[in-house]
Amino acid sequence: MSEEKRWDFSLFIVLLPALLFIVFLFIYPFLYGLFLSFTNEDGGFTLANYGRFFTDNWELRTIGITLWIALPATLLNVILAIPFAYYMRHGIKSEKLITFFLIIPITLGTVLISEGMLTYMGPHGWLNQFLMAIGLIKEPFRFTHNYLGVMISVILQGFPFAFLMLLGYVSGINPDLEKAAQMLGASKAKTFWKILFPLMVPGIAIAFCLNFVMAFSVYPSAVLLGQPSGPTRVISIAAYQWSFEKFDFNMGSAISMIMAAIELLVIILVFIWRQRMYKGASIVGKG
Amino acid sequence: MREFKKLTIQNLTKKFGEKEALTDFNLTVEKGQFVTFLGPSGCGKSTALNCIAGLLPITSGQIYINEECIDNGIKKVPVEKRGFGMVFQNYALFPHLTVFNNVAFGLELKRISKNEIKEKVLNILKMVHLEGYENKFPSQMSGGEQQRVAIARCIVLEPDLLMLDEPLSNLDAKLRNDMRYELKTLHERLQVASIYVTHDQQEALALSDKIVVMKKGYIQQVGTPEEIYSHPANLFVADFMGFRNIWEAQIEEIDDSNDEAKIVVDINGHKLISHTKFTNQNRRLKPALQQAFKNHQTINTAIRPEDFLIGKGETNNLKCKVGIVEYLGQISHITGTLNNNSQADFRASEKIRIGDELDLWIPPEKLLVFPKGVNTYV
Repeated sequence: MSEEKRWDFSLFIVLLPALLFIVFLFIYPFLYGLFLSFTNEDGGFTLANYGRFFTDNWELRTIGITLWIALPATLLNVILAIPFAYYMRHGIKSEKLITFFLIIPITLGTVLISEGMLTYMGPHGWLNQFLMAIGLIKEPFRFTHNYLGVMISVILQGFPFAFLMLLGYVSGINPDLEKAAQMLGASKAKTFWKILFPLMVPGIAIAFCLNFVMAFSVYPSAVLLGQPSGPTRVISIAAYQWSFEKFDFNMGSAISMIMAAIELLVIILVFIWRQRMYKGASIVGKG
Repeated sequence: MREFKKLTIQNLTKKFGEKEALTDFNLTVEKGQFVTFLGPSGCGKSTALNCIAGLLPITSGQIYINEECIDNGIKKVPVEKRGFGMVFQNYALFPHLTVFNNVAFGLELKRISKNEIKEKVLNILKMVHLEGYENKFPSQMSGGEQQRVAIARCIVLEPDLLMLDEPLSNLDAKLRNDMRYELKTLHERLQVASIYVTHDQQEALALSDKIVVMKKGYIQQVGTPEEIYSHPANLFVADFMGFRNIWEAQIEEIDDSNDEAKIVVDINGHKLISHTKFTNQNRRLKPALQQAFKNHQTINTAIRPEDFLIGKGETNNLKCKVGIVEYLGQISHITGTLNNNSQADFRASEKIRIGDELDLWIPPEKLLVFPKGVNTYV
């Protein structure tokens, strides 16, 4: 490049607040955590924290438990969101109302949703009473304090998020592309699979990643709606217990680092898939 | 497969809610014909195109290919089965596909062999001067190149009817002229029935066999470029076709024979003579003019800037004080005030300065007269 890249002081000043924010609230804690995870209580270098995690089956199985919640929930959220976003891409009647109801779970927060579910879906809750009244079940079905409870909560929280992200993505695709495909002889189904779906892939990838990260770091609903001492002892519970019940911050940090590494790995895999699906240039269907 | 002979549209009406976007639209497009829908934005030209393509459901009316009804508002042949092609204003190329795959898209749906597809695509890319672009993506190409891909993608399927929705309006002025020439050449070569939508009267005049002038959902006039240019059916068409001087006037005298009239009009106290020829295009003017004369109604006169002559003529002499001169090289665009206080736009090739006093005259056959209230053409 012939143009000299100069140090732009005014740009630096404008960026400073954001840089400070990232450095002190993300980079520093992250590096400190990384440092902690490789040291023992006396501050000496050690791999023992990681060794303990990978040799202790009680800890190691949290990876499997968390993945077993996060992966199906995320897949379901994203796959369900695709047809919804597709049918609402040009706007429909009462779209605002539907969007409103979908946003509510996001705004209420996990704890409130979990509390609500405990009552509503509990053994004496309305749902069980209703199902028994219409004769579908004989005795109360267990919706809460198990794997299913955590799943439902993660889906309630994650689906609106995935849907809204994908809706924004699909409505950004030039509607003339669909018309063009039809004019060239493609049916509605062919138009979806050959044009819209490939163009949605980058949006699907991002929605999947964000949803997965959210689901993988699930904590409140795993405690409130699951069985935190066993079947739904997810990895974040393990990190919490080591840090704040056993006060071993080194081990807690190591577990957090493992958590971050798994999330990163899944994101990398998703982006490899995206790259294979979408070889086109980086524009989003603007024609 | 049937052979396409003509497309007939009868009484086509399209409403969006209560609002009529297109009213009582009638038209025939024959094989090989190049028809242009011309009008300002919001006149219904794109609506008409989308209805014919099947992309919009029609409210009432019928569309026929030859004698077969393809749409009557209740039963319609779906878009993908009509065998029409469309070139969009924003090209609508598939951004995730290469040029080759964009052009091959329609062919692949037809289940023909890979070799045949390859041969057809490469041939058509050669025809639009895009050899060697097969593996590029749309985003790596200029607007003009993208437009060629869009055209290639349509004509490779050999459509019965080619529709072009303002295909040149996103290009810069020079490219627009080049592409216009190429479209004309392509049409001469392929002889495919075409419907072209534009708001640019130059494009319409240069390309068309037949022009349909539209306003607010109504057809104003249908005719050849010469008919539309020389014999506008009403004031709207005249205004749209470049009759920039529109003055109100009173009729003093009408002396009409069968298809000609000599009309003396009074414009702000200045008497001018108009020789009007009545053709199929403007026959409705004649009774309306007589009516206006009888009832002493105000009418409009219209004249093109190009039709003023500088100097003294046998009749229709005027004096003009020059107000604004826009120098454009070969000619200048001049705005001045006439001795009856009307504003006049005209052209001059000689050197003229602001404040000059000029003699102007108007050949009587160039001064058109339009009664008020005759807006639709039937």
